[in-house]
Amino acid sequence: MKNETEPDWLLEYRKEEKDNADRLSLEDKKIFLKYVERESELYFDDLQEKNNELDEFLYYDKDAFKDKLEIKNIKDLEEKPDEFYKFKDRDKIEALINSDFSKGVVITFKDDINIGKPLMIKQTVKSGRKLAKIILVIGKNSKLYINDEVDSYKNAYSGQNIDIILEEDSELNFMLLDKSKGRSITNLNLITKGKVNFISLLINENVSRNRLGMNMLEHSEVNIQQGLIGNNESYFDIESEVIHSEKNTNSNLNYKAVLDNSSKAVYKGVIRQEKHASNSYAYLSEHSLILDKNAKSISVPSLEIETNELKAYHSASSQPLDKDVLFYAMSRGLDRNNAVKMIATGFIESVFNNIENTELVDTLKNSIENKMMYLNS
Amino acid sequence: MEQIEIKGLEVSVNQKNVLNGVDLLVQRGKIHVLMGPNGSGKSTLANVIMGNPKYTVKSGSIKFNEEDLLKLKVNERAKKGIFLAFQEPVEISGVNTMNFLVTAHTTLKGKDPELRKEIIKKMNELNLPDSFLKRSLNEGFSGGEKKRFELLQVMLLKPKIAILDEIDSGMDIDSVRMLGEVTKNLSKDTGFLMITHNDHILDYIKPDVVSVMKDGKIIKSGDYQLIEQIKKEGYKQLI
Amino acid sequence: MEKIEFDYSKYDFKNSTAKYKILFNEGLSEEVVRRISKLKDEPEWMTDFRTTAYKFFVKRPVPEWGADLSKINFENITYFARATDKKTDNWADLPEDIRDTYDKLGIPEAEKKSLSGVEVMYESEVVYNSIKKELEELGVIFCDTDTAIKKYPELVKKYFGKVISPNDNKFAALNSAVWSGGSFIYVPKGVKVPMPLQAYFRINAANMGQFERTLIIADEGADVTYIEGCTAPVYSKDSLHAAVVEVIAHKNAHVKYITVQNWSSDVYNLVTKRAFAYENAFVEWIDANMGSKVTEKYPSVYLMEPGAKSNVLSVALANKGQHQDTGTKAVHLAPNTSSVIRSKSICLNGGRTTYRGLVKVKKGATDVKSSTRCDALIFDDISRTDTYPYMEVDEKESTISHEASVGKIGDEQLFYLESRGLSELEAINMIVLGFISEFVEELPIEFAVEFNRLIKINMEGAVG
Repeated sequence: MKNETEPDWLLEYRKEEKDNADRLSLEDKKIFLKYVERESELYFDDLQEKNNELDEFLYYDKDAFKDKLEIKNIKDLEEKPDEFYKFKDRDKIEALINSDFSKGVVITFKDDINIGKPLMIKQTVKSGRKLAKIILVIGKNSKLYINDEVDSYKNAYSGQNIDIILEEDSELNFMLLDKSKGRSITNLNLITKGKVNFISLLINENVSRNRLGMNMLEHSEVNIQQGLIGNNESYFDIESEVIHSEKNTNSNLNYKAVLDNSSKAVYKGVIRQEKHASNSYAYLSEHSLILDKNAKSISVPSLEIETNELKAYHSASSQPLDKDVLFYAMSRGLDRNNAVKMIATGFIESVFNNIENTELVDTLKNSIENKMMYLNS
Repeated sequence: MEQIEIKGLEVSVNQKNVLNGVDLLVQRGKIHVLMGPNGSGKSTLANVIMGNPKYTVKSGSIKFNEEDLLKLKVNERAKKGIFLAFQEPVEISGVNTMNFLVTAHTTLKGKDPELRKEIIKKMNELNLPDSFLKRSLNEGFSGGEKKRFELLQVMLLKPKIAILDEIDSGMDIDSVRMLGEVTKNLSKDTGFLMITHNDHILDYIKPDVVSVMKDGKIIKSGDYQLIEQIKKEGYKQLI
Repeated sequence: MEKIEFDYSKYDFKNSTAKYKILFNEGLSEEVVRRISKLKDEPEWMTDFRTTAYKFFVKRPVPEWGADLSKINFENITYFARATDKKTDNWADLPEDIRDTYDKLGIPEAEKKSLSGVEVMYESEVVYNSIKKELEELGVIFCDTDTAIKKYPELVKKYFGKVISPNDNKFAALNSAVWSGGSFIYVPKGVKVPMPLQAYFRINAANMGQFERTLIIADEGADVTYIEGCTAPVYSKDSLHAAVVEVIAHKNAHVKYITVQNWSSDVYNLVTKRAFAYENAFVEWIDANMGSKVTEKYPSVYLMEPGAKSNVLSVALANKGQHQDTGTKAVHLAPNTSSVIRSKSICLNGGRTTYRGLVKVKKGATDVKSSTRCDALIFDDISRTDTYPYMEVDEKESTISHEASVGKIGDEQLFYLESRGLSELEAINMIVLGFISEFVEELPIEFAVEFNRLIKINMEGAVG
């Protein structure tokens, strides 16, 4: 929301972003334009901001993080922070959120910190819209957990742009849990010299659009584990792009989706290995389990390779429920719904293996279980 | 006498020194056994003689009959009559095994209308089913089969100097015996540098020279009696 | 190693264009389209087909989603030429320079080997046509499409433009407007053609567009293999090849369509190929793309009825200045249909390969099985390879899988082969031929030898 008390640089920035939005297309890659659906719901001008103050949305253990981080309201900054120059909008929606965000923070972490408790971002929108811009700067030699939980209520709109800079020898564990019943947009861009474990579970019930852009610098490592469960009319549009910009970079992307009823998922996994990304390794896998004849899955696991000093693989599949497995489960006394629930839960949980932090695993498992309750209702 | 003469060879891989001044002589018509603990540089030496580009020669020389081998490309060394039986022969998808053997033989030895028959005969001797010839190179071969396939190539290509890099590891007892016979028969005309961990093979051949390598250096050379000493005392006593 | 002597000139020669009987001025208009039709003495429906298509061509923009096509100048292309006035059944009757061209290409040898009836396309029309008696006795029709319109009007009219509509895309529209030549094949019910049918195409005059139109109909239970081989001489100006190939495989029929292309590096090769496979029919596209400046080609199979199957196996090799944007479509419209897609691509010296594929399962197409495997070899960091496999699944009872890999030739593999006496180039060639060996196995033996040579020629510069 534009506000007369905002600094000039910010007003100028908002104007630039508005221009960018006019110029940019809904997709950064032309080839994906044909999959754009429910376009009107991606915009937010039909809704009003209910509260344009920076209300509480960051939660963290004050003792654990004491003196370890600094949080600044973007509107209080006298000058445009450097981080604003490091990221470029990829598409129209991202630019629109940058232009109209109401909540904006820059969180800077100190070097050499290791905190096992997560910093929580809670983006809860009960009505109207909420647009947030969050910049995270993580220093050297650190280990951090950040949990981003999004929940927009029915008829509400959540939009968040998250930009992250991760310095060398650091490890970021970022979890995105989106259980919106309304519209939800997340754009996350990351520049990393360290190790990133990105985990997302999307169990939205309406329109969900998710853009992930990982720019990998020398010696970085990215592990992405994405799961989604769709039922009823839920619609997911996800693009995860991993760019190997420099040498000695490793990426690993796993995606699994369970689609039931009339839900639909469009998944675009893009691995790019640029000229200087020698000695790099990339793996991408996308697997969908389709439970209903009205469910739809579109996936495009793309590879764009510009160097020969690399290895890149991807695999993808779409499959129905295995009837033999179903039969087996039912022969052990489960009714059909519970058998399906068991199989689908196992399928989706398997994408989240290898997660060390047990609290994280519990959160994910509980969310999956709660979501799968729809089969019993 | 035709021979490979190595002097003061220093070699590194990924900026790490692996050979630290090796001197060695391998002569045609003689069997030279090279022993030593794991990681002592034996395999490196074998690869460097053949010209594996992975390794960087920092100093020293490798000469074959007074000719500087280090100046030659890998295939040129092969054409001079040097052969390496790989410790881990690579698999190459889609490259037909028969076609590979014929190509290699034609390149090194010229055309031979009887070659296909010869290949099948030798494969029988080595207990390799000739159905292998239809497969991709080394694909689907067991560890022992790969080693026998390397031996088959020694028999077909009749090199002047054959370097056998742990060819006996992974071989069963019958194969080791066969290896011994083949080596003995060929050694009239071929010089062998046999790298081994195993003393089984030494029951079947009598090496002319035995060398022991450790930390990238030859620490001891002698005749076959050195083997008896190692058997009794292990490598440690040699240092 | 057995040395195979290449006659490089074989792939880079041209004859004088002075002997062309009719050569339209460059440029295209509805008037030119009508004149082509009139010259060919075509029935009215074909003239209408052409003029309608021309309108679609004008209306449609040049597609931007793939390779760079912005440099094509449609005004600079000759849309029709005829090399000689009469067709002939006898090799010796061919004009000397044409015979010379094909001698260099080795066609008479292929004839001697009795591969099949040779259908030769020189520029826009088929000039040499020696269908074996055997085919006639079987009732198989194999002739150029122009002849077919005159001799089998009803048959052609029934199928022509039915698989690929003139409005399918800009280049299919262009072809539909100005097409000339191409093969027409009809195989009657239950007939299995005992030898592959073969045709060679060449672009010869500078700036000469080639717009052949091929139509293959395999009636119930029929079986036919068709081979098209393309080589082209080198020119400095851009030339355009925009062919259309339609295949209809009726119930229980099997059609195997083999293409080995080696266009000169200035050709835009924009080809639309599509097959309809009916109940239990089996369609195979075996497709190799080498040379050309840009190739955009996605041989497709529409699996129309239950039990239909498809197999698409392709090889793309892009050297300096070339972009091979290729792939395939498998559209599953009926239950119990299956598709297998395998793609092998190689890029070097700044060449670029793109795999663009679509597997689509329409609602109601239950128990569909589809598997895709794409492997790419990349030689250096000035080359580029992209993979875009689209999967659109509207039906739960289907199993779709996709796998892809990108990598370079292993150093250890090279070292192994070199230690057996092969030079670096020979070792690379051996590994590359191994990489695409699945493809070579699909070719008739004579063709496989020729293909291996073409690959080696196109790998030129692989060793820096």
